[in-house]
Amino acid sequence: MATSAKPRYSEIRFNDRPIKNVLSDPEAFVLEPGEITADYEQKSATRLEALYPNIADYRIVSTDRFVGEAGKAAEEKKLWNKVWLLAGFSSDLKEKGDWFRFDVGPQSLIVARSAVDEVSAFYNVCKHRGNELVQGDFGKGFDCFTCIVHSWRYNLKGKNIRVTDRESFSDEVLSEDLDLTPVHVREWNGFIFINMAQNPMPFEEYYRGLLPMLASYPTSEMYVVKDLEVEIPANWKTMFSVFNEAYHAHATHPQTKPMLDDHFYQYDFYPHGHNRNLFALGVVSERWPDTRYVNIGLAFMLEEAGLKVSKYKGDARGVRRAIQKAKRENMPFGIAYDGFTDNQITDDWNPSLFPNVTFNMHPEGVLVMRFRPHPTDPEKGYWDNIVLSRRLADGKRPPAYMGVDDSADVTGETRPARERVDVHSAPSSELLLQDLDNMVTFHRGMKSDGLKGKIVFSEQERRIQQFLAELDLYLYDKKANPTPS
Amino acid sequence: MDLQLQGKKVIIGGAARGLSREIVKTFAAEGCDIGMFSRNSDGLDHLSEEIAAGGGRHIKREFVLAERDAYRAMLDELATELGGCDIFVHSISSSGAQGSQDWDESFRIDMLGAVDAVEALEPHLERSESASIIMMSSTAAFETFLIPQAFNAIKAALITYSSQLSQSLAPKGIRVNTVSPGPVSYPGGNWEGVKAMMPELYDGIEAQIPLGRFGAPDDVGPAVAFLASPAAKYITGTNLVIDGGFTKRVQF
Repeated sequence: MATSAKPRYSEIRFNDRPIKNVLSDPEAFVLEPGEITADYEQKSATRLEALYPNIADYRIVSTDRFVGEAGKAAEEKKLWNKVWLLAGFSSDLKEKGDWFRFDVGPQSLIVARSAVDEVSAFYNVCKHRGNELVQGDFGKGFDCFTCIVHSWRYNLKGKNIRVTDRESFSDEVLSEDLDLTPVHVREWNGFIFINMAQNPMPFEEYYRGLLPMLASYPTSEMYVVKDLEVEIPANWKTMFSVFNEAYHAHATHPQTKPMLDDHFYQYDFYPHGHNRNLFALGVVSERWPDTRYVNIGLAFMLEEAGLKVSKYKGDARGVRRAIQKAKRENMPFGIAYDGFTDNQITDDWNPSLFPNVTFNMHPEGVLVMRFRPHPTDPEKGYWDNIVLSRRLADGKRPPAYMGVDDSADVTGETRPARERVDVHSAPSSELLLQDLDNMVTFHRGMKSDGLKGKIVFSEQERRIQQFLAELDLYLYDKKANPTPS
Repeated sequence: MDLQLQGKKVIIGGAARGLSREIVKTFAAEGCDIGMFSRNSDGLDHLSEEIAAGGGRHIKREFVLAERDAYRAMLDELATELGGCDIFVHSISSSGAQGSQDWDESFRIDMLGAVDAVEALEPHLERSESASIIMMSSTAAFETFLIPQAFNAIKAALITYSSQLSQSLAPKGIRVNTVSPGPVSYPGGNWEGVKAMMPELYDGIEAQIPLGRFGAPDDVGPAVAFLASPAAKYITGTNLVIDGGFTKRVQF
């Protein structure tokens, strides 16, 4: 094991019963809505084949995509500077003069609150001799950025307001653009996105498929309670793929079988590479040997919803709906569930934002995961684990699987510092450590000559197929919009 | 050894899972006719398919324990349909529904479930040539286990009831014995859920078991079959502890 995720699950890892009616077309499955539903809960209007006529080409793919150079140069030229990227959160830009740094590959950006309702973003580089302007992750109450080398200064919108000893510069130099080079930035529902293209695809078009669902979560009221960056010995695409399928749940996370349906969940695919899975929680996996008994995991969920387990009449099949009803009535986390569908109350809503972000969304909080390329080494990458929480009732905390430390402040009073760790010392939930192990062993394994250069995907892994198909549109200049920068 | 169970009529509840399930399989393999009830009709169907080879008759009842009258009536009908009752195993429990800490549920299911069953089945058992009742208790009744729970106290009451019942029913030729298993783990069972979600607790308990492992249903099934069978015809009022040495006190 790369990490401390203990191999204690060997007996329950493989106590599976086979699923009676395995979905041969998982994308067709509809997770039945509850009484209270919404349009954004319905299946996407587009099947994957409609979005990519050649999607079948992505069932068998080359390992070159993931190991060795793994497309690093092409991605830097054609992907990262074209797409909308999640850079950070409004809660980190509360006041004018607050800023954070966002790095992707060799590019570094500063994102700053330049006025009350305005966010500005620009490359983190002084226009004199290219010195990196800020080295830290966050800043508060700045009114300008001053370069440490020659004290050149820029205001919060990136405009050059000082060239020290200006008279010693030739007119020729002074007539160059000496302002920080801006990038497009968009603040939306508590998230800050950037786009390095000159004329990017409009934000609303890019995320068109996901926005209605994302808008239902009050992420503008949330704040960061965990911020962990793990350097992983694997390409960012390998890391991302670990979280774009749930086929691995039964073997990698056997402890979830008593309370998660790991086969019958909804898949929805949207334009521009985005997708989602909707996972029912509070349901026993068909692979678990007893799907009727209210096991200890379900019992815990019932209690958490404010229901006395021994008074619950019925078997495991009714638990999820009972929890939905009870959470609405009892508000055990100190938040109301108006504005959410019944299923949102229990289920894990899991969109992927192309090219490199996933959310695990609950009304109480969101686990944000972001995968970023290493600046120089395509066989390394950064896995960002960020947990957003709402203000919950005293003593209540975000779901345990998100890995928020027991001692962390979840009130929002203190913003945790960003932790940077490597694979050997990553503090996190057992669940995330199990995934971390997979990233490491996938990367090592994919270099094997035994693969003869190819890996294969099931139809349960369509989200990865879509990702690679969309990526190719950029890499082969087939993406209609945006225009090159 | 011939347990002489061939053709005997057994009634048992909670049949679809855990120890009860294994007990059903054990009796079925010995050629018994079985009347089994459970909330889980799918589970009963699966079990029924599995035991078909034993050759005996199997009658299934989908049943949820609610009104006491309805329970007594169900048992009476089941015994009639079975053509009699030689063996009754009281194995329904609040622990089958995460009710171990609930006093009302534990009393209702573990205690009254025994009392009402005895009342309903006594006339049938009386007519048997080798009548026997097995009450399923637990080591938690007589040794502290984690926390005081309703289940533990009620299971202790059940031992007293069972033992004293054996005295009063003996003249009618009905033997009454108790079986007290220690922690038992099986696929999909509560302990396996604990193994999944609270592994330190599971490991800690396993470390205390002298025979080195959690109990399994097939550690208990054969013992129940023996005690219930004519081979145990002179044993009544006893409490057979099946726990791999988990409980430490000396049993007199």
